[in-house]
Amino acid sequence: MILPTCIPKLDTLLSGGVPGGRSLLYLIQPGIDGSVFGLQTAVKNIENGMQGVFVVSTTHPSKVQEYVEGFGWDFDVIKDRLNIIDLHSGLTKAPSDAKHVVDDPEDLESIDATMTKAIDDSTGALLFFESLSTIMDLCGEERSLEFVHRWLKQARLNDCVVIANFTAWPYAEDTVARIRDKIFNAVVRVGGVGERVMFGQYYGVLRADWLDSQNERTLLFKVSRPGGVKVYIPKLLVTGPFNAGKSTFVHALSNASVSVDRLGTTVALDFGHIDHKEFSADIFGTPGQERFDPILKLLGGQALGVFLVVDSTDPGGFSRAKQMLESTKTYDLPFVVVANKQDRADAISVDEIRKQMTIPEEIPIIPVAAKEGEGVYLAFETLVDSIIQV
Amino acid sequence: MSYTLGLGPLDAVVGEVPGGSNVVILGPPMSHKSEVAKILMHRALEREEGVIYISTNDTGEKLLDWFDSNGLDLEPHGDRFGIIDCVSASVNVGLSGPIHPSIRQVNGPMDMAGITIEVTDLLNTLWRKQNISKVWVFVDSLSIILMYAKLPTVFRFLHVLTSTVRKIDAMGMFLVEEGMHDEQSMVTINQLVQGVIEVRKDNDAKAMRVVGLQSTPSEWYKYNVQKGNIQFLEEGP
Repeated sequence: MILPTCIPKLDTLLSGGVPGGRSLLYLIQPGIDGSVFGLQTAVKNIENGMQGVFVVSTTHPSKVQEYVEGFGWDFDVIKDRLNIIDLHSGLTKAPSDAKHVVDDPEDLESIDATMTKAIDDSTGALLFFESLSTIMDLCGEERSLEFVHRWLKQARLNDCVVIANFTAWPYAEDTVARIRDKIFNAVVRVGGVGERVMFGQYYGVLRADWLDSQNERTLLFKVSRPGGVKVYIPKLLVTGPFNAGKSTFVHALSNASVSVDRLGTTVALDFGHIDHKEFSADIFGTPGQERFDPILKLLGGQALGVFLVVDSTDPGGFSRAKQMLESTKTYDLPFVVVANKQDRADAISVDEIRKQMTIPEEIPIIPVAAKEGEGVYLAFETLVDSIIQV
Repeated sequence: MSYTLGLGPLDAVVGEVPGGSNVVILGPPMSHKSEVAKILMHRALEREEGVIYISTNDTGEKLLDWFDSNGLDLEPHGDRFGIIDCVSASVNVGLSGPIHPSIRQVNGPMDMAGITIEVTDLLNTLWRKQNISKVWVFVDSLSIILMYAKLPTVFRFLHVLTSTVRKIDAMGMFLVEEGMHDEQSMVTINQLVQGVIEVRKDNDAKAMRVVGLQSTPSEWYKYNVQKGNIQFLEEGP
């Protein structure tokens, strides 16, 4: 059995997911919204039929439903296959409906008795520690790790998969090193980008003992509510000749968009944001008229991929399209050609466009009717795939 | 980058406080520490600076009511402050979510990971979207967090928070109840801050002074808090 993490592209990096009996830690930098990683892995697998045991330590168990539903996931689907070990109510003395309640969550022996029984009763289940760091904070670093090690061993014997969130507060160096390098079979780092203010978030595999070689690729992400973790692409460029339908394409693709235009033509830029499947991206569209060429390079800066939009009914604009790819200085980036207006009777075929524009075979040309929204998501998925390449 | 405390005669003594400073406001119960902090927050907003207010004592809604009832209008500053409400969710009054766009809820005063996530997000919003680089971070109060969590845990949280304040040249203000914590806790807290605003209350008279932001402690200055204003009863030097 291999349990998928259900985090975009992570299963590819982990050769399919987490093998039965193994453990995976999400090592989360403080300040980064990373607790959803473990939750998403746990909820999605329970949705798919697994039994789950949640060890809840940062909040009252009644809030778990609220969190799950906050991401748009249906709690009713998982509730009958989910047992909660409550390590929180004992601190606040609040009543609890959880199946297992630890009266004194600061006493590792009490936790251990409950954990041992829960693991024994849950052969083949998914065991999810919502916050391992909270247990260490309550019970002490060293001793907690000894018990965690014991629970992981017992889980392995019972063919359980263990998933844990861990906030990497500034613990003693050897504590962090032990967690990062030894106790878990795999560690996925969830961190922030930015020296002073963190303006981006990333994840990547730090190690996994079932992999022969490791892919060190990291991916930017955003957390969507609803949706959960999505791979984030901060800038996709949409360019192409005047009247090719760039603005229409941006609007058709985006969940939210705005255009700076005058008398119906773009005079500065189009901007849109898309959340689609497991991806999230910001999209910037350029004007098409030649008088705006001086700003094209500026608009193309830091883009990660390009949609080159052409009017399939106007082969006269093809040379201008290729010229714009050069003007935006994006010719060395992954790009797809969006053959727009394919719903028109006078549109030429994709093959003919490839021939007339001398586009190499490896560059995808996607037939699109942006006004009708046809083909726009295929174009998006194709471009994103060629950027991510995981 | 530097900050004006906004405390009349103490400003005259201390001058501008360098960005990246973390300061404790220490005083006994009923000495109006929290009111002082809220007035400082409003004064910072009036100077078009940004504010993150971590409230472990009052719900976000109650905090907004205080400003309203004391004639301190927050509406013109709505996009320059954020309140991290550590109370509503833990007492279940926040089931329907925050009532104001500037309020973010976390699980409770123990949810230090949640608080840190919200601070990061608010700083990102203030710095990158609002282009505000002068930011105050208030924790009202640290004593409540220390009631719920062990000292090493709070130390790690404070280490991350004060480091963030230092990195971005912000101004951190941490309210602490005098007499509530043992010496070890106070030593631990004081390791992480550059100064203390001490507040005292003798009978009806209240006074404050600054320790640590200049070479010697300042004099005590008597003050009153009334209707959203701090009135000092004597002039500074």
